[in-house]
Amino acid sequence: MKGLTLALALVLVFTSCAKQPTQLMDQAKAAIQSVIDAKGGVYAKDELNKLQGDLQAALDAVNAQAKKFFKKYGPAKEMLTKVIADADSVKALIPGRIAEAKAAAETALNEAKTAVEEAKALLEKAPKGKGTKADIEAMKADLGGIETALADVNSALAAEDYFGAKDKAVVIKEKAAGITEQINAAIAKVKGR
Amino acid sequence: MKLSKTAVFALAVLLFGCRTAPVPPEVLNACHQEEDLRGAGASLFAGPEHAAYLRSLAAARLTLERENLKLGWFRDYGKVRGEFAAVLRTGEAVEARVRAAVAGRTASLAQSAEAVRRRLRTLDGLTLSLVERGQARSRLTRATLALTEAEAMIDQAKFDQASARLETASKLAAEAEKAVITHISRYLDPAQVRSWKNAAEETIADSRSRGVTAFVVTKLERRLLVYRAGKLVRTYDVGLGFNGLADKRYAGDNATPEGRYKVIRKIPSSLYYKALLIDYPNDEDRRWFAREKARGGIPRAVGIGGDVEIHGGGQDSLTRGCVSLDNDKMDELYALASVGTPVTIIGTMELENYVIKAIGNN
Repeated sequence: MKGLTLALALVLVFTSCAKQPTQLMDQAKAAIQSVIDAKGGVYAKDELNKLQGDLQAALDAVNAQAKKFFKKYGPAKEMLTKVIADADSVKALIPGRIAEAKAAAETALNEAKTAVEEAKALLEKAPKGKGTKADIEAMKADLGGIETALADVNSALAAEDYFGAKDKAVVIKEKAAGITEQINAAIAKVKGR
Repeated sequence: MKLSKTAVFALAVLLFGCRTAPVPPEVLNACHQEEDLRGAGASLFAGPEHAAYLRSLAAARLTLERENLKLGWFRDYGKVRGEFAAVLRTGEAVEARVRAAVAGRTASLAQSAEAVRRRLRTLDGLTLSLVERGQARSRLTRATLALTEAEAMIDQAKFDQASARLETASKLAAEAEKAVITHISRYLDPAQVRSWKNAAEETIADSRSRGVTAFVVTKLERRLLVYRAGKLVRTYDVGLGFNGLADKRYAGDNATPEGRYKVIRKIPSSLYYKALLIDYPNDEDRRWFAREKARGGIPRAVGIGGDVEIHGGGQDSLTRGCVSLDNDKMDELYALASVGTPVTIIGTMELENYVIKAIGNN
């Protein structure tokens, strides 16, 4: 009888009284927060989503065990440990991705600047005779607007919004190329006379 | 002994190995679906439904885990299959909801983008036709850039960013519109338009009563109308000065004068093909100029200007205040004109002119 009581007590100690892995849970949450702080929401969006999903699944597993009489947190702990390890891996990826995005944004900005400079140079050379003055004046104003927009790209770069900066620069480059085409058309129009 | 060991191994394989039921394909499909939903932004576009889906998936995985803990001989994935099949159905519903939400927001933002694009197109046409090449064009260009960015973001389902860029485009369009309105505010003033209209009607009435040819230039429409005995007989497209829509105030302002003038000289060979010199400044212009100068309304050092002509060289050009036509049209006009032909230059005769309509539509 004594032996049975002892066995029951042991079972209770090792099962129903098992504690929630709160420290591990906090660590996992902190690991994900550090990914967010490192701009994971921008540069590792999919990975961050997955981490958050995995954390939720681990927390659900903890909660499921908490409701049971015989608690077994082993699998939940494993899940939490994996979340922490994965979060660290994702965090390690971010600096490389930021550098990559920054380089791409800078390249796009340089290309946009070149396109604007080309358009400006061509505009200077364009014959400002009868028939082209109005077009040229309009294009000058358009290029003025583009140059202001280039400043927005620099602001985005300074704010480390590299994706935004790149998107803006690409649009500017296309617009400048469009103006170059228009200038060439205006030149051809004069030559054709 | 050797035979007995082999028999035990074979029996073990039979009991625990070969008899293990395969994991149902629904489990792997659910894995793929979970990834797809995450990638499609389900948590963003169908938050509560996605959360419920994830809960049911977790429950199904727990059932799978329990089943996997059993010895192969006793495993039965029937319940697991059922639960994962239900998860997949829930996931499909979430997918449909995400698709609908994305399509809805895409359509709504695309509609807003189209409205902004229409507005920019109108302003583009206006600034080009009004030869407004300062603030309005510059803002218009920036608005176009913001709109292009917004459209790319809509395609990438970055709706919040797209919405912000659309707002920027709209704001810049409003600023461009304001700049255009400042540039042409006189053309939106009914009293001013009525006064121009009266001047034109008097010229036409004079042409009718005296049976002579008269020219009316409407600057907003960039048209030169030829009346013979009060009847409209020709219409020509014309070009104006760099600052053509403004009324001429002094020399070098590149504006085209408004008022009732007449041809004072026919020049068969001018710098710009044939030309008809008009009598700007007339007496009224001189009186106004003297009054404004005394009042300090115009710079002290500048003169009133002159040598305003109707000439050839092309109607799509920009002059320093003259009215220009294509050379073949100038030939016709030159033949129709005589020294003394009345030339009335006004802003517009149309109270409901295209600027008002365009701005009103915007």
